[in-house]
Amino acid sequence: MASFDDIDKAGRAVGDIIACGIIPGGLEMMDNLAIRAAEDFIHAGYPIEATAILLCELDGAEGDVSDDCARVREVLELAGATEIRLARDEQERARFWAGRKNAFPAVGRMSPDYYCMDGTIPRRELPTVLTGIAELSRQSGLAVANVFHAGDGNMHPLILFDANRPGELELAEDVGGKILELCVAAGGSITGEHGVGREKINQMCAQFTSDEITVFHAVKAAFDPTGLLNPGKNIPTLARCAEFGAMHVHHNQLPHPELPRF
Amino acid sequence: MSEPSPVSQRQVPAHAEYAHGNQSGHDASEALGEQVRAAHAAQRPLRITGSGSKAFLGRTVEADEVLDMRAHHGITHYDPVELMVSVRAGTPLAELEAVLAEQHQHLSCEPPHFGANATVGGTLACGLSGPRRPWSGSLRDLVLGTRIISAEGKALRFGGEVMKNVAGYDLSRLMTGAQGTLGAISEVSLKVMPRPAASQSLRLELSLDETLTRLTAWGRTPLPISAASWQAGTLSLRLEGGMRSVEAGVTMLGGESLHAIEAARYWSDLREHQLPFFTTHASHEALWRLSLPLVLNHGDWQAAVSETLGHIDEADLLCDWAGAQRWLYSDAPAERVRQLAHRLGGHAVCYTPGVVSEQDSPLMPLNTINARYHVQLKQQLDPLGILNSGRLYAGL
Repeated sequence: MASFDDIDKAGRAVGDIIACGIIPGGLEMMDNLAIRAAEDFIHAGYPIEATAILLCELDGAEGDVSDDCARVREVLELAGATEIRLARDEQERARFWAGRKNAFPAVGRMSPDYYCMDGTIPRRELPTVLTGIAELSRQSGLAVANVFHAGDGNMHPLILFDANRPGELELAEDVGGKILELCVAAGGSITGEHGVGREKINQMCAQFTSDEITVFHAVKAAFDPTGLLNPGKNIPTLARCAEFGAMHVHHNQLPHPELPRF
Repeated sequence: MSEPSPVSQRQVPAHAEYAHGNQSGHDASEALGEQVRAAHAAQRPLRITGSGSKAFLGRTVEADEVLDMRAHHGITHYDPVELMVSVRAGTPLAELEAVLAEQHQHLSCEPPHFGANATVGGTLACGLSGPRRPWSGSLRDLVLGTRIISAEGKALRFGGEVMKNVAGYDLSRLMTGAQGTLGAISEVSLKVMPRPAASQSLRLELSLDETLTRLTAWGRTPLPISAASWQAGTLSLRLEGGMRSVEAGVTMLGGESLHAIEAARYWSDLREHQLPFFTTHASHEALWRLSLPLVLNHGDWQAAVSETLGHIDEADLLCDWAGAQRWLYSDAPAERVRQLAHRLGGHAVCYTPGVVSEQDSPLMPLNTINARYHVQLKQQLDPLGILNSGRLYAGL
């Protein structure tokens, strides 16, 4: 577990570990809000003053792992970690992970409701996207805790809100949608593992062109010609993209301009 | 016993974006798209080609016009720290591998070239993987995204350059192995991996039965096996990983240690069908690739062989992928070899041109249900039959 006083340094450390040819079994990042939420709930021994922590787990044959541990420690020191702790035994290893694994319910204790996003980005874009998320959080007044599968660029921003306050659910959904659009703009995807159902379906229009969406419908038709299986899920209709595009016009460039609008 | 050879010194590649190939590459996507649009408008079929190194692996496409992807070449984006590379279809596979090697990285599935000028696009379209496949995953597993030219000549992009992406249907993996019948692959983004720190190959004298039994047992241990082939009573094994686990594996397994150069040559010759097994076989026998379940009882294999082919000479068989990929020289009719594969839950592909009839395909025939979905997919994505029609199966 490595602590950082700067999220940018933590992000770079992730790249540095991979750059030296080590592929960790697990590599996770948490920001300060997520650290404090998890520590308050689990008492994992997390440094609550840290701006970010990285949890790095190495697996493999014992000799290789001890070589790699030494190497990763060196890399983290060079990357500017303020503190590095190596789990001394299985109990401590489990405690390190318990905080991360309970990050979602921990955030759930801080706020009546939260909305979990699942965007992916190239890791090098992490500082830019986190800055964008912080700005969206400031504008909306909704706090956002960040938990990140750093090794594979999968972000889980948790948007804190209170559904009992009129309009706040819609505001959280709006912030979530904009975070996903940030991910697409950074060269990433709106979902790394959770998938698209009805939720996130509008953001499909941001990630794909209408020609690409037409091909998805063609593939669907090949396997389900009568539209029997979960119609309307996963792939938006072009009419939906036209409607969604009309709501958010960026730099006066209408998305999907070829689609008819009424 | 020789020391495990350090394949690469771990070095930190430049953290900045690596922009190799932008200078030497050429973007021909506009011209290729235009050619497909014109062919589509005229309802004129196209035969997609790269260097032709894997032309034997399908049926002849009845088309007078060629869509040559080689003009569209170059690495568009390589970021070693992100473990990904984006490459235009016409880029020679050898050029890509050389660029990755400079950064101590590689395509972990070690795809076969089958020719000095094999292209990345053709490699992906055929979807073949080399000796490391059971341990590293297949070429298809490494695909992060593709750009394709549709049958209408539209430029489309599926997937992307990120490791995880479940938005939309995974058309990139559908294109892998479709040999251009669903779209002409114009660019691909692939996951790349660090080369293992150490590698050591071994030889052990064992029967096939004993080989399979031991491989199954070794599979339950942390032995870092990355290739296992058997031929004529000899098991060749490759151990790769950290220096210490490779050393421990060598000590545990014993056998004869191969020199690094000899070992690299062997695995490359196996992958490229350049071993004497492939180059000296009698010309009247056809080479078949049998893809079989990883766990296959040797008695079941023998029973299936005797029921379908009668007898096979041990010299006609080479097993790779710990037994899951078997190369067989046989003069038996195609149906018999296919029956053998089918009976064992696998499939058979003929690698010798001119063996199956023109109406037939070197690929395993599809069952009725699968054939229906193949036809429906082709009809949806290429209803006029512009792109490589008939390449996989007649009428598809």
